Amino acid sequence: MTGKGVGHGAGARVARAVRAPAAAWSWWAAVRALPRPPSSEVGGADGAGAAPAEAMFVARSIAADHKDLIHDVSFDFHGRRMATCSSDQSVKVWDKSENGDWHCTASWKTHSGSVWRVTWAHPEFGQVLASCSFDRTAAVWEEIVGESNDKLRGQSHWVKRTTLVDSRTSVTDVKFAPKHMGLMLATCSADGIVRIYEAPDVMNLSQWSLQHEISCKLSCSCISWNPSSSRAHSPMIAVGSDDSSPNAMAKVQIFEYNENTRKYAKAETLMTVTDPVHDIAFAPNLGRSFHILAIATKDVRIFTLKPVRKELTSSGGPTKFEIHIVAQFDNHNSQVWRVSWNITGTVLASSGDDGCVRLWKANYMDNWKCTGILKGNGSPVTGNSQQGNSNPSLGSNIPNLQNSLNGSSSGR
Amino acid sequence: MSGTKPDILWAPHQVDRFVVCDSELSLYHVESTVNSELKAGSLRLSEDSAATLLSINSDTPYMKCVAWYLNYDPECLLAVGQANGRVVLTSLGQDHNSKFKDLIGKEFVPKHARQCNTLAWNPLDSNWLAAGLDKHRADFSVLIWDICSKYTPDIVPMEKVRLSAGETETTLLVTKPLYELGQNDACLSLCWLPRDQKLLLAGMHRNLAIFDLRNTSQKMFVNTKAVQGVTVDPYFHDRVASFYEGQVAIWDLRKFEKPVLTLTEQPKPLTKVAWCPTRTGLLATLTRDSNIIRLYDMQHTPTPIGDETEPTIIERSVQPCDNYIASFAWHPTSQNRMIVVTPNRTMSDFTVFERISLAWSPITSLMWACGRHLYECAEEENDNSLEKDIATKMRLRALSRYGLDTEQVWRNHILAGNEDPQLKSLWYTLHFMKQYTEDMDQKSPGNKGSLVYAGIKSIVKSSLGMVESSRHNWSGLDKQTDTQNLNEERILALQLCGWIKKGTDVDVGPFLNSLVQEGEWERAAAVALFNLDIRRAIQILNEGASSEKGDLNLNVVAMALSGYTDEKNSLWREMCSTLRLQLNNPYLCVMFAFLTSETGSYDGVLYENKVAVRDRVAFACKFLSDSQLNRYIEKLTNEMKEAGNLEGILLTGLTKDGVDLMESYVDRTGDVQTASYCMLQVSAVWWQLKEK
Repeated sequence: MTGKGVGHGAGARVARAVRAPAAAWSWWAAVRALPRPPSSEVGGADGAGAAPAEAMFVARSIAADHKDLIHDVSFDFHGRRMATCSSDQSVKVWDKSENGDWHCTASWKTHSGSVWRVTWAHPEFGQVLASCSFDRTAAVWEEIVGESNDKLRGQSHWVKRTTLVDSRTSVTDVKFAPKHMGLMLATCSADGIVRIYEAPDVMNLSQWSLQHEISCKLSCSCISWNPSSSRAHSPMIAVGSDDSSPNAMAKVQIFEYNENTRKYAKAETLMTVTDPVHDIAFAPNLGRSFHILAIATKDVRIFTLKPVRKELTSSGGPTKFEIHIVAQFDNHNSQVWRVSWNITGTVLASSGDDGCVRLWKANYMDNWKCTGILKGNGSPVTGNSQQGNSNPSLGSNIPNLQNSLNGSSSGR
Repeated sequence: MSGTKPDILWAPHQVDRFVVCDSELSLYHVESTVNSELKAGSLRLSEDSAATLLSINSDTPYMKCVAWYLNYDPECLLAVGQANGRVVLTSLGQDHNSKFKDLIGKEFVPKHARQCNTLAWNPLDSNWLAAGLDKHRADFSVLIWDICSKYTPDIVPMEKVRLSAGETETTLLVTKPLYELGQNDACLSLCWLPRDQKLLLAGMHRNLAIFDLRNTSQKMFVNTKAVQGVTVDPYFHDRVASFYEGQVAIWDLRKFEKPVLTLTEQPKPLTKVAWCPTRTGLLATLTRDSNIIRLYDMQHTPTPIGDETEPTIIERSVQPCDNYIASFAWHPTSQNRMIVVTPNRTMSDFTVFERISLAWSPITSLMWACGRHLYECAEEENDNSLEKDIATKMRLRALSRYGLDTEQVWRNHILAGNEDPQLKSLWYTLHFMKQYTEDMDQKSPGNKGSLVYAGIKSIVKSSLGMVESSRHNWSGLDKQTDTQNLNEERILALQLCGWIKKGTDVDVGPFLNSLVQEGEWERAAAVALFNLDIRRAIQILNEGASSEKGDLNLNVVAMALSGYTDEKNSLWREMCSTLRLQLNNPYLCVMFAFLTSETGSYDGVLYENKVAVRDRVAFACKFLSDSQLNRYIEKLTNEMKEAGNLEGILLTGLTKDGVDLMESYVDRTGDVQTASYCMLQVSAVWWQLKEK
């Protein structure tokens, strides 16, 4: 195990580096500072390396300058641009400079109510944003290219291309469909309807036609497209409801596009999720044979949905799935607000009522664990608030199986 | 409060002070403990703050309610409402401003004694204090006192004389209120409306009433049971909350007819409801016997004007401590900060976090928004590959052009960071496959080439029933062991395993040398032993023991090896069989397993999972009969497929089995990069073959 030595060394190095103000942020350092589950492989040496109290991180704070609560943060395809939206009814666009700093390059009033969500279209369609608001509308925005005074001041100009006014209630989420489906946009609203729009001409962003209206019967709070671009997977969208009336109805529904009927039909209902759902996210697929769905409800839940091979199901009907819950964590103590996957769908970040951001990662056995905690205000987590992260409610530590199955051999 | 249940109040201006009141008033000072140790005698409030007791005031018994003077000066002036209806002004030491000295101890006395339920200082005229009292016949229940008014001997001289008998501070009694309201009623809660100095909202016995002091005969009222704890939203002056039992009602004063909203009923009666002073639309509620503060984030509530909108209210709860909470208080200026007190007077200081929204950037940094602030956490580049996520690994590998070396195919594992044994195995397998395909192709143009890429499983199958075993002598031992005669297919398999080099030579010498060079002594020794060369094995171990990086214990292993005896019931055999299980190195382990095994039964070697697949397969090719070999390879292939172990590509090649294996590898790791490049390598080769 030469890795042991490396781990120790790097831990110590980070602890030193963190004291220098320039490199004063690293969540990896925080990850390392966590108590580790007992494991014969890494236990002793690593624990010693991670112990010093200095081995902490501070998240970098960015002056957002929003006048009210920020409700959503969204990155573009390349991760070089970012959009934020707020109760102050505005959207801001941020560009990353060469040295990694974020600069606000546009800020404008988008709606006449709180803006709940903002999202980027694939850059193939141009620099396009969609936002949705309490004012019952969703809007599509495009950046104007060309030299102007704004440009000289380092500002860019965004114009509204369309307003989608079909909802009679607050529009709670908006998401562009995966690129391979064309320029499509889904919204959901408090009246329980998911609407799917399409821009038939991708060069004309002012024309959107309402293609589908899916009734969910429950007030909708969040939607997520299945990002898989595999031809084996039909377009699929998951919808969460934050309906809080005391009923035991399932709060997550999954709809799938049926090529024959050209309609979205319900493929699955996650019967076990009966508490209000605040966020939902399919993991980027990357060619996995199953889909992963994260749900923010009164706890963090991760489901896998494995399509039962088509030849086994009767053709024409919706795909059948083998659904497994692979993780369930109540470490946020109460409500979980958001979940977000990293680009490979291997690390999940969640935020909750404990005011913390937590990172979750599975080992190869599909055994999920908390691998990092950060306080919402960026300060390091110390002492008590860290407790309990190593005993997730579901999924136990199986430290030694890895070697027996994978082999620690060197091959040649 | 009533003696046992403490209440808690932040000082309105000196923001590091608060008062806990039960039977007495205790003033505390809050200090940060971030950079210092906990001082002796101070109480811990949170991870980074502690409280020190500054003073105790027990001058005012029978306290029912307390209200802190709202002006800057004097700081520590409090009004205390007592069980007999009197309101007393008291101070918590320290202030010795003579100008206000005569206020301290001043008492405001109602005509008839009954409990004082509530007190409210006027936010605009700091001298006005409203007191809400229980009902007494037809008497008034809302009294507004001017604290600066002189005592009034000329109006009630007799009473004053009577009261002052035997008392020292006779001049401090005030009996004439500025206003008297709420006749023949009881007042349970009070608050001044910030819109106007002269508007007072009161929770009366059966209604909410707005008294206008400019015309006290007029009042606006609405009948309701929700008359407790009236409080105005500091950010939205028309919005008022009140409660009854477990239910909170939200009112809009512009249409004061019915609540615009009632919040979900809580199972236990409410004891306190308070708007957050530092943030819009956040209401905190507390019920009896509960350790939870329930918060309602009212992003949008219905208004009586305009059309109906769906309320957007987010219900949250925080649990600041394990005990039941007696009372809480929002900090007047620190954002979302709150202090709670339990019945046994333990306190806890905490901040209610805003809902955090977050997003991963495609380049593995995490951004989140908390309240009005943005935070970014980026992954620091470090060499600790064990903890890197596949997302980071894939990016770094792409930057080093991983997967793109189609000539020296094995080098791709170096490009991948030279850290993953499975990738090493995979790329060497692909390298050998490419090499021997070309080799085969030159020798006998035909379909043999594609057989190489079909993996050892297919290669071995194609030779079914053509091999015989024969006895081979051990070098350096007087012993014979059955090994298989190596046919062309088995030689090819051994070549793919890397044991023997290209050409017809079946010598493992060069392989052993390269292992020794890389310091893999145990493995080299095992391979030598499996080639029936115990002397070479011992020699390698000795070499390892004497080398700088080697383990001295290897000498001991060499010693043990040299003691080998073929005798079935020997002590050596007995000890080896038991002690080998305690060996840490899998290769040392299988060496003894091999030596102590019965002829033809090599499970101890074949199923030692920690030994590389290629070594086990090579071993199997040397020692197993065709049917045994096929069975073993079949079993191992399935195991590898299931586990998604890339070492198994050696067996499956890039057949359908190989694709299945790759799928389960991707399922397990998400490493679609390796899978893609692996398939790309092959298609490149296949195209080359086709062109020829």
